[in-house]
Amino acid sequence: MNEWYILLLIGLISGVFAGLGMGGGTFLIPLLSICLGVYLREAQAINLISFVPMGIVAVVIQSRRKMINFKKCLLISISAIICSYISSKFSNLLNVSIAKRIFGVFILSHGVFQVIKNVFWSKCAKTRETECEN
Amino acid sequence: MKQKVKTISICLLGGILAGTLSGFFGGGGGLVVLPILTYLFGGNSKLAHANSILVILPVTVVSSLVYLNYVVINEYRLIWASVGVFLGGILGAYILPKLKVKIINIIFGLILTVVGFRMTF
Repeated sequence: MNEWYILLLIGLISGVFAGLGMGGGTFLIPLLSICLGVYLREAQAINLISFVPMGIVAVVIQSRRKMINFKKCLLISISAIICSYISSKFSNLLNVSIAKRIFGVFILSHGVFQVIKNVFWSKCAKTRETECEN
Repeated sequence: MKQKVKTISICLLGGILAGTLSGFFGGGGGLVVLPILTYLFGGNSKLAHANSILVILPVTVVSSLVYLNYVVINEYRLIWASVGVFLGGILGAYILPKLKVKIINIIFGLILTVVGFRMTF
């Protein structure tokens, strides 16, 4: 068990993105299973559990800055909580190698979309940013 | 009135999608929530990023409780990864207001592309 520094490094990288609110889980799960060969289900569980303490602190930090709006998030949260409960109950019915593929396609397409959007539609993004500052 | 119905249905649909993804794949809900929150906050991506953690937090609590019932977890891995995520997350939360979202998005997208490719093939 000499892999603690790899785990720490993977955690740090995905933690930064998770703290930014970009979905660190999309990093931690594939990195764990690619770099260390962790079983997919275990990687998923590690991702979910490790997010909780960090998420609490991050929400406290952002609410001190008055960036949190409970009212606007309420509806999304409620429907997401109900659906996540149901789908995590059923998640072990899905074959692991198929789940891995689906998840891979999902993050691959999102990554390509993210790069294209931010590199080629930069004009659009710029005007939006300035709108927000005003 | 019409606007309100539209907003409510977008919220519900986004929540359903994010919850299902998080439950099935143990992550990735934040990616779905972000564009919806950006819409809700009128295009302010920093507010959307800050609030996406708030939306995802209860979801992860619920699904990790369910996962704990049937997944065997190596505590050693869990502890070290959690320490990393915790430290990295606090760093991320602190630097969020100072960052250019666009540049971060490009870096994020590039890494996701590579990792997703490895995961799929």
